[in-house]
Amino acid sequence: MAEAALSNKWLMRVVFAVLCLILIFSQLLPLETTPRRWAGPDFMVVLALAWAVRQPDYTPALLVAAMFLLADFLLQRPPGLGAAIMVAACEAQHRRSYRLRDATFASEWFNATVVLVLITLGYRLVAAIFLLPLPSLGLMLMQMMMNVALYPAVVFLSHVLFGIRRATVHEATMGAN
Amino acid sequence: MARDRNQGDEFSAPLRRLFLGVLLLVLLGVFLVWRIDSPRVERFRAQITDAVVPNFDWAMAPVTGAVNLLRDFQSYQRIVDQNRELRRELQQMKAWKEAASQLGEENARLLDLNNVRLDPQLTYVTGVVLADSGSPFRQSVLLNIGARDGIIDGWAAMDGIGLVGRISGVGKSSSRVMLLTDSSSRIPARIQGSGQTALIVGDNTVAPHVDFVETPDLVRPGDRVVTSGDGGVFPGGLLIGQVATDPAGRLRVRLAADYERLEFLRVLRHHGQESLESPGSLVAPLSPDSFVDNGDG
Repeated sequence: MAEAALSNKWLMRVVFAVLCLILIFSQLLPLETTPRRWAGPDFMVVLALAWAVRQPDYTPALLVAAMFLLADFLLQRPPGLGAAIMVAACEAQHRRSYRLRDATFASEWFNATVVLVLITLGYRLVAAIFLLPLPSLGLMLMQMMMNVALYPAVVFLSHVLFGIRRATVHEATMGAN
Repeated sequence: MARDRNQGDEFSAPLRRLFLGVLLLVLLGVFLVWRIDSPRVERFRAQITDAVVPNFDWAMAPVTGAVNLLRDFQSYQRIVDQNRELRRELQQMKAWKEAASQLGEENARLLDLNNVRLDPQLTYVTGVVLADSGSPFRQSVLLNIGARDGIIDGWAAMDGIGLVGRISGVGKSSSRVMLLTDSSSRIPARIQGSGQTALIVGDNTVAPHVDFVETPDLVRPGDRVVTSGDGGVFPGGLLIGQVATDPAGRLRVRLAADYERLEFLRVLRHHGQESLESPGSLVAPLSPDSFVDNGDG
């Protein structure tokens, strides 16, 4: 059983990486060459946060760092900044995954909301300190709210498609021993 | 299994924390290096893009094509109306075409009479748009031509009609075009009609601002805006668009290029303008020799 769980863990890590690559790829498609008045959600951030809190084993820090660094480079963002923020956020989610194990979905969602707000604030703060050109506040707020709204859908889809669920109480008690 | 992991935690937790700290430091280090020595990291970024994105091309082209097909399909609903509209426009166009061909002939005759030589340096390379910036905050596209094809940073990119942007970032087989709508795009321009120079300032909207106009009162909506070639980076005289005013009364430029569908872009080869370096020496008649000798010194 241990071996099966181990191979499953590696399989799901590969699935996470592939999903991230597909998301980067879909963002790069040359479909929107006019400036938009709205900003869509950032699927990668939501996906990483949801998986990190539900199954910490599937999102090791190194993988998250690699994926988001690649995204930073390809999507014309300040390289390393987004990746560092996401590694820290995922680590925070890992720590909370034990506490949120028996919590209701509402509290998990609230927790994710707090993390998403902190990510946005952190990014803007660092960007302001280092005198980076700041993207417009409206667009960033819109993206943040879209991310929050998307969280349940991402959780539901990864539950149905990839079986990403929170560890059951049974496993939790085993872990507490 | 869970127990194993818990026991392992006793020893591995500090190690993990150390590893995490190092990872965060490395990432922030990359960010700091980028902030301090941006050109080098941007070149690195261009290399990464160059290595990764063209590999996706086989998948990107069909997906983009399929989505565009779907969008076109929506417009088929109005096909009858459109057809009628197009016929009417075609009628008008025929009249214009007649006028244009007459003017073209006349122009060619006059050019021939005056022995005008059009700038032979302005040739172009055409590239296909591979990818966009992928972010709502930046406006740029990636072309499939790069240093291999002799592309150099700063060259102008046009679609068939108007200016689209300038090359910013060249890889071996790909290059990035910063669009005029990007918030860090600044292009020196001249407003025809009043002949004033201005700066076209992108601000992440469809119509960039026209800034630094000396007397805005002289500018009328509908005036053509062309590049001025000031600074020597850009060739002059490329069409950008027409002046328009927004509801707040600020001057903006309605771009001539079709930003809805950027598929093929022309990159104009431009090797800088020649500058006159020596001050003019005294111009004198040739006949008295002694005078010429003195005048040259």
